[in-house]
Amino acid sequence: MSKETSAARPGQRVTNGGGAAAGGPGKICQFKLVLLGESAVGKSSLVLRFVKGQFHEYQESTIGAAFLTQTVCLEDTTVKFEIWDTAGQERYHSLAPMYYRGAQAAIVVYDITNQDTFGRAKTWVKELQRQASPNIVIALAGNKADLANKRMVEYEEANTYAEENSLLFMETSAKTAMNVNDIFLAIAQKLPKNESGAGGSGNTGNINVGSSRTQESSSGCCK
Amino acid sequence: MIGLSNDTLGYASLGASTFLASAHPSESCGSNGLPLTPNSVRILGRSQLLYTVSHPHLCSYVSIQRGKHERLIVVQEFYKCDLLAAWNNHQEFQTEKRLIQVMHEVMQGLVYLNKLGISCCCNLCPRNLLIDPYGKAKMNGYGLYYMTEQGTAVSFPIGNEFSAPEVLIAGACPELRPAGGGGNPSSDVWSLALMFLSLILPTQTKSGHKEPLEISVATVLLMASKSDHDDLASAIIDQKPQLLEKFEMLSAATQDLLRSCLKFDPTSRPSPIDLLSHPAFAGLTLTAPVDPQPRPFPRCTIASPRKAFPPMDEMLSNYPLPDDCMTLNHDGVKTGIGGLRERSMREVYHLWQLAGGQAEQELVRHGFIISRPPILVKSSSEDTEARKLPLVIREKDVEYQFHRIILFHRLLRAYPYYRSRIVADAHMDIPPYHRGEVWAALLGVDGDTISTYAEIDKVTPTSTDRQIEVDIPRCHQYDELLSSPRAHQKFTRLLKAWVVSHPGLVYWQGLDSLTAPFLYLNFNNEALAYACLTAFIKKYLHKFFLRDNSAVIQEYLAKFCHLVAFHDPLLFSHLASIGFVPELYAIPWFLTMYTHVFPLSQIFHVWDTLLLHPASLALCVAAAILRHLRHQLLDFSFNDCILLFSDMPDINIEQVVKDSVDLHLETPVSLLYRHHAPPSSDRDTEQHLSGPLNDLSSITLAEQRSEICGRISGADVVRLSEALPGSLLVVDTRPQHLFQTGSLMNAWNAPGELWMREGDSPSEDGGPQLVLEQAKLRAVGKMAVVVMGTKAAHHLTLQVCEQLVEAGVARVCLLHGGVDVFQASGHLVVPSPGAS
Repeated sequence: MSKETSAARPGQRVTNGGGAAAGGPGKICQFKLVLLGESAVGKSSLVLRFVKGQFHEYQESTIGAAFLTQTVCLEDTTVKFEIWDTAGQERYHSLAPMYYRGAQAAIVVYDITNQDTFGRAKTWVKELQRQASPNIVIALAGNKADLANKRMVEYEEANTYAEENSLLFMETSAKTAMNVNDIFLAIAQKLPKNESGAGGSGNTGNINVGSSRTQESSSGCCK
Repeated sequence: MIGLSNDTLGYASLGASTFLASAHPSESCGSNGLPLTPNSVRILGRSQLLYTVSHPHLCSYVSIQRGKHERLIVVQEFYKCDLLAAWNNHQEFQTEKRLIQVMHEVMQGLVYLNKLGISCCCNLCPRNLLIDPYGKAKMNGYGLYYMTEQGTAVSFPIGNEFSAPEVLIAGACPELRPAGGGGNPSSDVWSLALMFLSLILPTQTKSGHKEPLEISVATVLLMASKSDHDDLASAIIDQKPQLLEKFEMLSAATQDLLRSCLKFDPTSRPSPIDLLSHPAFAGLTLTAPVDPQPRPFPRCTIASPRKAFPPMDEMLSNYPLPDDCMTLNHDGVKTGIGGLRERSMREVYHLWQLAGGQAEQELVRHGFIISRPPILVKSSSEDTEARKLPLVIREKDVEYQFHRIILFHRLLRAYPYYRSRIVADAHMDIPPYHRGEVWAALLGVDGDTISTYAEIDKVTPTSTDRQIEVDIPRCHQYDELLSSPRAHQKFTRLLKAWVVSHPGLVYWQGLDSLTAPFLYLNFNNEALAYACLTAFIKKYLHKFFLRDNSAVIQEYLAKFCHLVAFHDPLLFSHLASIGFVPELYAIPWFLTMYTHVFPLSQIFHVWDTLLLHPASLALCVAAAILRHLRHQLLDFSFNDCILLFSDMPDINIEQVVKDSVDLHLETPVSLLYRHHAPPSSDRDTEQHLSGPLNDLSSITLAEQRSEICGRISGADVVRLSEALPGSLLVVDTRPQHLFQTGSLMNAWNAPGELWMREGDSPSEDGGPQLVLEQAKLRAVGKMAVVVMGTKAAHHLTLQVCEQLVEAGVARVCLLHGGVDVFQASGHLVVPSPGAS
């Protein structure tokens, strides 16, 4: 991990030009991405596959949230993802806004072998459309595609839903790595790479657990 | 670690046996898409129950471990003499009376096993029937069929020439095995009767030697397939009429017993419990209760002294005793039992392992072993040198552990009366061998835990089930015991029990991790694990599992910030400046009390200390972790910091724990005050007194979160300045004229306006820069820097605190309620002219 990176708090700036990788005049963009979805659908596993190329069958549950970064290259642009992987249990819902607020991208994950998780994914999409930054790029990931023989959510059903809501959509498998890099790359492609587009909703300053959006101005305990 | 049976080693040896579990075809998956649990792990989970077996006619299980490549190694109580040897060497074992007695003893063992839920042993034979020095029968190897799930987890058939026809058939054709059933108790009855028959109707060889009657598997199956006779005894006698005379010499009751036990049809054969009252056993009494006894946790209530061993001259003649019992003392008398042989088998084995013993290695060397623990324990008093060694070394020191185990063994027997002694000795360290029960004692677990747990509904489906179900297979699964299906069942029951018994509280992810250490340490005593979990949450995570716990957690995190600002203002300011707030990393630390952060081996050491302290120690553990990573954190950006904690780096946990205790001692009690702290109990040192000097309850959550440093109570200020005069720097920020009407003894008057003047060069009374420099000098070596002003000018006092913290002054705190609290209490004195 390089030390020059700037804070990954909500509302990332896009760093233009300066600090670009040697070998080209390419830009470096940083984007905040959040993963949402029901428990045990494979959010952490997708991130782990994307960032470290690993997969653990018994990936431990996430409490609160976890943070990882990964950089991808697109033609002349280097895109650095700052990924917040959130807890799936419904009770942790109150923490979610502080992670998706100011995020430029979100991956909403469900498990193709479990219809309920698809319903939960739709709820997340609705919440993002209502509460997150208006320009947020949302991708829908139908994970555990390797368990096709236990499929409960049809590809067509999810695809139609994604088209109606202008979401990127792929079925993925963290276990076999199918479509994992692809979905992150597709998001990177779709994200605006200019200063005006990628700034998000501006720096919101402190992150307050459980506080509503209106309380953003009141400082946290550690200001 | 685990253990219910505590049988004394006595004259026993320890014997090891080994077998391979059958391997799954590679890449096979279960119905949930996850790889199948290895059979050896399934066996490990099931076999835990065998540790609870404690019966005079059953050899205790001492250790069941996994080796490499699906190997299991079983260590069990062992004697060098089996039934056949006794029959060959001792005339009396050839008599009907004696053999009936053996049968009665084995029958008691079988009833005990049946009641424990082990319905069939399947491998009874003279080789597995050991005879102890006093001639008592002891079954060996009876758990194999049970732990291997009726033999389905191994690729070899379980059984022998004494097995009942239905067992022989199932062994040859696995598809005929009873599905799901644990085997038939009456199969063992057959084996026992067949053994009896072969010994009571021996054949004479040409040399005049007696040999047990041989009845081959083929004969048994052939006779069973014909329908001339209902039972094997009649069929054999029909085939060999010369046996009839001998058979009819047996008593009528014995004849009836053999006939009914050797019925070909298993459904018409009696079960062991039916047979205990058979007339053939008339006049024989039970050696011990046949009902498995739960071991209650506060044990002292029914502490019965161990029975002494009978004198050695009551032993069978020429019995092959272990070598160390045969040595002669000064008077030329055999020494018999002494030293380690007084201790329980499990303890001895544990110590033998600490001394470097490895069952697997022994097996490699001999093919089989009859081991004698090679531990030499000096009878010297406790080794004080050992106490100074690091914890991890002490835990591996044979001699040190020997003394610790004995000490805690005695103290635990006297629990709860000796709770204070247990607490005192646990401050040194807790021997891993007794950790489960020591923790229970520290948590004050008392009462009838078994009935309490038994009465809880752990079965009815609830809305939390799905969450529990997806969390358990991800919880501490690197540990083989916790990854076994049996552990998953126990996890589920414990969590469901907790949820259903705490109607005001709910299941938050993380509760599973919190349960893991208790389950691991009390694998065979779910009730105790449950009692510990409940007591732990009540004390350390009060209100954390409320449906809406945000106020509780926010207050907790605010206190954590105050603690960091108090002890390490530089680090605090850096972390605050990069926005690295504890909301982003510390919630799993606190909500799971570090069980989601560290592996079990480290959790044990954190909790060994945590359980000796009030709940607020957990905050100090977090502060100590930051202190250990301080140099990195000071250097790091936000991303680096958060990545550092995403995967907790390796840290010296013993040192972190020590530091947390120091930090706790160095923090005024009131600084750690929380609204949502558990109500104090008499046993705790945390005090919540009332009165304006003590009462901090008027602080709001918003204040806790917005103020840079914590508040100290007036009572704490008085207490500290009386106990350690000069240990505090009291900064009185009121204007000079108010200061002169009265302030605390030795207070330093630094009026608020001095701190606030901006921009201009230092005037004669000094500017902000000058007063800060003075403050830094005066604060050196102080236990706390107490900033106080009038209650009305609270904002001013707060600003002074902020300046001090930002300037890197450590141990700054704010007096709650302002100088006003001292006005009525009479602590104010008029400063002598010229002070400050």
